[in-house]
Amino acid sequence: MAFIEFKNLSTWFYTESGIVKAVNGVSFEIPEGKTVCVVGESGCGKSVTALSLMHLVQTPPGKIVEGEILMDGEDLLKKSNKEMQQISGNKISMIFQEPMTSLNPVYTVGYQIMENLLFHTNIGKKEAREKAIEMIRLVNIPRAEEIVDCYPHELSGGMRQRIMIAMALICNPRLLIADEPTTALDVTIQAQILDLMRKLKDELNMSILLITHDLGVVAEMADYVVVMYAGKVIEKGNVADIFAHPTHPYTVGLLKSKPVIGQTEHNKRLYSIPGQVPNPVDMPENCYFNERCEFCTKQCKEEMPVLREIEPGHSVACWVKPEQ
Amino acid sequence: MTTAKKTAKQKETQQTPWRLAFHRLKKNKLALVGLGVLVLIFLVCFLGPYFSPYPDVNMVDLAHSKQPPSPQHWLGTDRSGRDILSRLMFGGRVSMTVGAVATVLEIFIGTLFGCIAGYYRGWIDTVMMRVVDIILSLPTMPILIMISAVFSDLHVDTKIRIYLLMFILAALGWAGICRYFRGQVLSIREMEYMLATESMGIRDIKKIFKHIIPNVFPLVIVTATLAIGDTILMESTMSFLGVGVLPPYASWGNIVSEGSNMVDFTLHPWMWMPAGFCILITVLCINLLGDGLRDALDPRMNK
Amino acid sequence: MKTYVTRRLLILIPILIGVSIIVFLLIASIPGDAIDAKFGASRLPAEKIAEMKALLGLNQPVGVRYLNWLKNALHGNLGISTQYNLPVATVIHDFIWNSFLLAIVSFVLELLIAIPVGVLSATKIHSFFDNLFTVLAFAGISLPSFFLALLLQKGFAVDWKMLPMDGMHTVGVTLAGGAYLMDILSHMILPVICLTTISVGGAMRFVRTSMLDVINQDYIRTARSKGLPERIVIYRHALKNAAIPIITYIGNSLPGLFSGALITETVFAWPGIGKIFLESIAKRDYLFMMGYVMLVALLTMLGNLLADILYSVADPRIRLK
Repeated sequence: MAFIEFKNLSTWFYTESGIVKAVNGVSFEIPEGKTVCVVGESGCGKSVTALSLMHLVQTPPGKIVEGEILMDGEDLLKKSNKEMQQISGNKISMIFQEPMTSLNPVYTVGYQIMENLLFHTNIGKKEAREKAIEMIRLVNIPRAEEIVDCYPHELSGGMRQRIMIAMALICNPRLLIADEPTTALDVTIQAQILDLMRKLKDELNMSILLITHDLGVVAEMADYVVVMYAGKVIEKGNVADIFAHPTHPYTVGLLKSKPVIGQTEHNKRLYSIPGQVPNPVDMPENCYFNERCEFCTKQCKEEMPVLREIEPGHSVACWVKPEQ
Repeated sequence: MTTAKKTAKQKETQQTPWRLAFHRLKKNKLALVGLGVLVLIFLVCFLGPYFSPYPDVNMVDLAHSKQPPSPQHWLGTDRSGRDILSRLMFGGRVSMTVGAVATVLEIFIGTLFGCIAGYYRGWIDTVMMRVVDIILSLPTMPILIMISAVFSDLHVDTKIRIYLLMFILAALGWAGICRYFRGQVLSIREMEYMLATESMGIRDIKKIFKHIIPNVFPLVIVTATLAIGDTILMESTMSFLGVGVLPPYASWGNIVSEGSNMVDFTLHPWMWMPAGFCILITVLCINLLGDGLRDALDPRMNK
Repeated sequence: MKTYVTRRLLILIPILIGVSIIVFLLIASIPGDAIDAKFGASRLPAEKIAEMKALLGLNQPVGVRYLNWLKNALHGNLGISTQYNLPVATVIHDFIWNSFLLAIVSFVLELLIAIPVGVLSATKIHSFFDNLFTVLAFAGISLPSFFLALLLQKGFAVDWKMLPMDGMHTVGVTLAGGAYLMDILSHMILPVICLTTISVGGAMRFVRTSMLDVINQDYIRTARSKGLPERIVIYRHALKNAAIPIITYIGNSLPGLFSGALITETVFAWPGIGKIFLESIAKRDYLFMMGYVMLVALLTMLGNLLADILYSVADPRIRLK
């Protein structure tokens, strides 16, 4: 049994201009101790998938209309807020895209790290502070004894993201959700943060759900990849399969639009997928990618493709591709 | 192009900021109720007297003084036998006119000076802001009352005093608006599209009117709406104290004042209560509407 | 911090001078003066009146009179109140504490009501509770104080005879100790209700807005993702941030504690500084008017400074330079 299992999850937003099916029947699994990357363009529903797991979708306008999210076979969506409080920050932690705004400006970072421990365990303040300092050291911040009493505005973006990681990991969670953790950071810092996450994953033996639009990050981190488009999973499989033989035209397009040193000729333009992400309001029941797809058929415009396994552990939702 | 795409396109073109704001305002029930009641009060005050059997609001009829509400006088009569309802309508005209004119004046002065100070900066800004600081440090109500005392001692005609009242309300009210808009202009000025106008060599005045004023205009509307409510409150307070609109001209404030002597206050509540409620309801509706407008026009609420 | 405060205090000087010039000119343009007001109707001979005016320096040109006033004011001498034949400062001192008593009680009530209601409104935005208190808050803001005061008197004092109508003490009885305090207390209730009602609405809206600004911030989501109970998320993480503007609001409200409530005090015949000021206008006690207005202006500016200082204390991101 998989550790975490998303089963047919649908999270919709009821907005003034209509229903937005941000997450629409999404299913995938996170095995114990593995890293799963959810990839897609912005607005494809990857963040909402993670927020649904954490009970953090704003209701209204958002609502989880269907599906289950199982952890060790127990449905997290059926948990009360009280029960969920025992799990989030403790067994499942999350870090966010914006390190600049994700920390509370009026509390010291030490306090914000300790708070997790104080709430989820029975240890005293002094001990919690010791553990917080230890954790700050673990995420490779020097002078931990001083940093612990700093306010967030006194630290750089990379430092703050490390603090976020320290905060998320202090209770030894089994799953870390990272929602575009490096997008807002400089490239050199990005690599450091990813290294850190990989190192800590092995040390603490946890799973990671990594949300990103950056295929470079996927290649570096992932064991399994889930590709999302307009609220749907259109392809999933282990990282080797996806990179070796991408099947869905969208996945192919994504991989083609990534520059690879040595393989791209200098005067050749980088590939970009034609068209735009469709307007998410009141979409018809067909393949959402049909307008941008070069292989589009009549069936694609009329029927919604379903996920089919094309090789062990590799599924794709496309009417055309696997046959070719 | 598919139909789905077409409708999506149409939807986008319809969503101009003003339309969006209107759409949002329509969903705000409190603001709509406020607007509706306000229109009703306005119509009653300005059209009502034409249907009233007591067209001469100042006609004294001592034989019918201090009568309680009856079919002839729906809200009763006052000490001089004047019909209260008619006086309320005339009082409403005065109160609303004073409130509206004073506000328009103060918004005009405040926005103009604010835009100029924020746009030119330098010594113009410094001088203007010191003047604003001084005016903002003046306690409004005491100063208003003292100015009125000057008018009383100069024996200014009561009708002219109504106009002067509008003027002094505006003279003390513009400073806050000026400072507010200066801040807005300073922030707009820093935006890139203003740099673009600079590089195109557009003239100052044109820049202010074409590019800055339209940007602060939604704010002007919200500020103005809320300011009308405040101004009506101030006017009625002054009239209540006998230093605003003076008899024989009716204003909601001085109607309450006339009924607040010991005898009428305890025995003839119809003489002062309706006028007080008129002020309360009118100002309340203005505030609800203004708050709704602010929510509707606030771009931060877009999500 | 020290240099910041010094600089701000120095800026106050030109503004205070500007305010005093405006107010002095305004008062000087009132035809007639305290002597005219006092003896104008009496049959005193003209020379006698002129003599008295000369004694008070009223026959000098405006500029000279202003400079005299300024010189004296700088020495702490605000002149003599003709209304009471006492130094202005003494008169202010005699009445300001009555005003302060009313104001501080209603201010504390205001905060005790506004903060919890504002926070709840923000966390349950657009709920029935929020809508109800939105209307009530605006009703409070929209109530003319004189009308509310009259309604309270009519209801509680005239019709139901539960509370005294006006004044601060029951006339004609001498009370001591606890009975004396209870007497003042019973006289305070209506004016305090009046002041609180008209000010609490604005405060409620302010708290609600401050809270709404904070509640959608990323760090609130972070706090929730840590599995903290909603109570802690709201009252520890959100309110401490929302408190920064609220503290500024409190700082700005402080001058109001001393300046007296003109209308409420007058209608309830509460012997506070606001009521005395209104009377001083009728009696053309212009040195008192001047002293009062300058006091309020000074308090307003000190309140602003205090608000800025409190802001920097509450927000670790801001350090005053």
